[in-house]
Amino acid sequence: MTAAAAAPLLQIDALSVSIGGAQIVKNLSLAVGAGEILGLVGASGSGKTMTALAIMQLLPANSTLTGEVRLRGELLTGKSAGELQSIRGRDVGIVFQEPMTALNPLMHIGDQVAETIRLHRSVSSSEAARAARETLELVGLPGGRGAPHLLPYELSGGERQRVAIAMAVVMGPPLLIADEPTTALDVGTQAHVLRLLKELAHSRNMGLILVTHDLAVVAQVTDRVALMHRGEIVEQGETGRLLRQLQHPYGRALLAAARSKPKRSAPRPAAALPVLVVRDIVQEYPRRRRALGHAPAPLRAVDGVSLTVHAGETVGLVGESGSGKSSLLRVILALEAARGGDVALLGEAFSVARGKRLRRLRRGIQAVFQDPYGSFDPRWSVERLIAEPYFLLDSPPDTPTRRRNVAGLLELVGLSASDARRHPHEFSGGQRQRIAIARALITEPAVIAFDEAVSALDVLVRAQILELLAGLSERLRLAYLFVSHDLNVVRSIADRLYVMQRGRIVEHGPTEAIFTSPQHAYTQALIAASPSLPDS
Amino acid sequence: MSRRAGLIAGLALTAFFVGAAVIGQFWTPYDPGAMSIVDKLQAPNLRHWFGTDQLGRDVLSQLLAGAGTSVGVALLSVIIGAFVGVPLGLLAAARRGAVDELIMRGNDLIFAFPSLLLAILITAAFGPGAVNAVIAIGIFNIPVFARVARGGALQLWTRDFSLAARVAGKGELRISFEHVLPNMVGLLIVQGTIQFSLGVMAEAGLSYVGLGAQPPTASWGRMLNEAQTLTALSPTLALFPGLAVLLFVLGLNLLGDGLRRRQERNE
Repeated sequence: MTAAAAAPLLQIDALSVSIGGAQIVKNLSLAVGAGEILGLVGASGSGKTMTALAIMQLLPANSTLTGEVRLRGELLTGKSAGELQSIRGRDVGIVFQEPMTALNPLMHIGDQVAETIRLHRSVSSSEAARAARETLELVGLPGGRGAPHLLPYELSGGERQRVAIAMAVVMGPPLLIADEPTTALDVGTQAHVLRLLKELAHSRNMGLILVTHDLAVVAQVTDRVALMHRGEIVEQGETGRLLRQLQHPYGRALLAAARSKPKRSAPRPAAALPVLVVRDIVQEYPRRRRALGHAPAPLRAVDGVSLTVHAGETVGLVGESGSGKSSLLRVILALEAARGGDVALLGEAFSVARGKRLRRLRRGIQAVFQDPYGSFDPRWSVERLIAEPYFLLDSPPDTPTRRRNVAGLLELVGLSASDARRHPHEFSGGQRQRIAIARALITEPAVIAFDEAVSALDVLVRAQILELLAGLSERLRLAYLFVSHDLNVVRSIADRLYVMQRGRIVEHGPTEAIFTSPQHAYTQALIAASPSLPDS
Repeated sequence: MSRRAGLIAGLALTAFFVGAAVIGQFWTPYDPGAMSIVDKLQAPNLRHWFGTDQLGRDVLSQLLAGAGTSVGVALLSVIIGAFVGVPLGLLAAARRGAVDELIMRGNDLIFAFPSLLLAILITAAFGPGAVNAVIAIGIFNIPVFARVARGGALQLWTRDFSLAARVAGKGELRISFEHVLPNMVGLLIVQGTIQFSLGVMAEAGLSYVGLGAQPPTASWGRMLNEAQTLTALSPTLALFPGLAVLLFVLGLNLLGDGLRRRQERNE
């Protein structure tokens, strides 16, 4: 890294940021060279995003900043708003996490890219349009397909992120900041976008700061890593070496968590009783009618899926977004009636049950959902939330029994009995998922379905929750149906795996067998695209 | 801080007029209906602070009594609108499909119908009066509340806690009342405040054209109507009821706006 040593492209010295009195970034110093890819890694709340925003001087209004940020030797801190505006976009490009909201929904994407050019340089509109077309081509949206005239809603999440990248790099900035650019994307798409960023950095000799929580992404893409913890950089260095010999305890914990695999006893014997049998499920949704004429053929989201979960077994269901796994889960949970097929729970027909029988059967299967913030009615106390599934009982237990059971469950999931009186907003994301698990346990079900239940959690918290789940499954002989797009998560917990693509199961079998010798092309592509850490 | 100032000003104005309305029900300086020809058309003075009208009635007393009519009509029409509209909106959001279509198209029908025409129809059928004003204004509040409730509910139905409640075996209507409705109380209060201010205006408007409160019930709208022909002779006569409508509506709007901002900030 001779470039970085001589005259770094970006030099941050003793940067501190506080927002409303709370110190978010403490005395941070960092350098990025031309053509260098730096990974800025940390858990949520570690201050990594604020550091990225501080470089652009895009901090919220009630924040104060001290220290110096220099770009090519020029001091950015203390510049006027007007000066900064011309620097943003021209000298520093930025890409945010959420591709859905980063674009103007009513503007052709070519015009959006061209707009950036015309903000910074006085060129004719046809020249700007040509440059926009070239840049879109560069990010993999060729003009031959009429890409510049597409509107954001016509694009997938990955394509939108490509447009956002095009807007960020169209001026050829020497520095690009990408804040969790692939967190909202599927693994396949993530691999494409990461490759694009890497190529851009190298071909244009552009400095790239990749802000992420994902060590596997860092291992795959970056030259150098800076590890943030509570507003400070606790460790930094060349990626390969750093990941091999992390010194700081937080870094070690992070790496261990990313590699962790909850300890479990040997896989269950196949002779175990099937608790959930899903047979030939077909689910269709009507498509919106276009003008007059015949209604279009319905969208077949789930196309003849069968799967079985045995007592005490953890089954993973993997697929990218749009593969139909959420629709399938809704059918399995009897939240939606399927167009075909049936679901049997503990040997009884579940999908066609009604009334009292349905309520009795529902006790046998509970669910934990993805969003730890949205899964609870914010007005209810934890006790009331956890006890909500008691509605399924014909005679719910009296108040003292209910209190006792809730307290017992809170302790079982690693919280304290006194948390029962508190409200969900008082808990962190990981604690909330523990509450959700307690709620799922209260009817003593045989199966719990997890819908992306750890996707929103930090890697450390995720490892703890997976550990908890593995322990509970063993102690209570619980079966899990674990739905996720994240191969690493599923690999760490599932005994058996089903891979879903376009509404069909394309492959299934024991987890390790699938990972070591995937048969179906789609599974192979998924595994290849999934970022992984080098073995220690 | 100016947002906060708006909220406080709105709260103060609203409290002032609602307080005046309550006081006006129990006490007024003079009997608002008592005529005294010798005292007619007095300018504001120490005995009659806001003067007297063409029949010698005390304007302040009429304003206080009229505030009661305003608040009463607006409040009752908001209650009618909310109690019918909100359940309809909740039902539309919970059931979707044909039920949703039916309810929302019914809404559109009411929206499309000219409100004054309906007020005239009701008056033609049942005769003019405050009660009929309440019904007419209330009917027009129904689709507003239905729409707001449906929108808020649709958004809440996308949250995972409604899924969790369904996994706990609860039906759509139970979830609507246990989870959805309590989480949109703030939204409904804001809308209620805005509809209240529109109700005050509508009551004044209906009474002005003679379709609202009938004598001897005092009403700001009718005061304005009666003052209209005497504007040249006694300009203050129209000024005070006009100011009363203006300030009350302004206060309610500031209050509604302030509450809405506060709620958005909390989310």
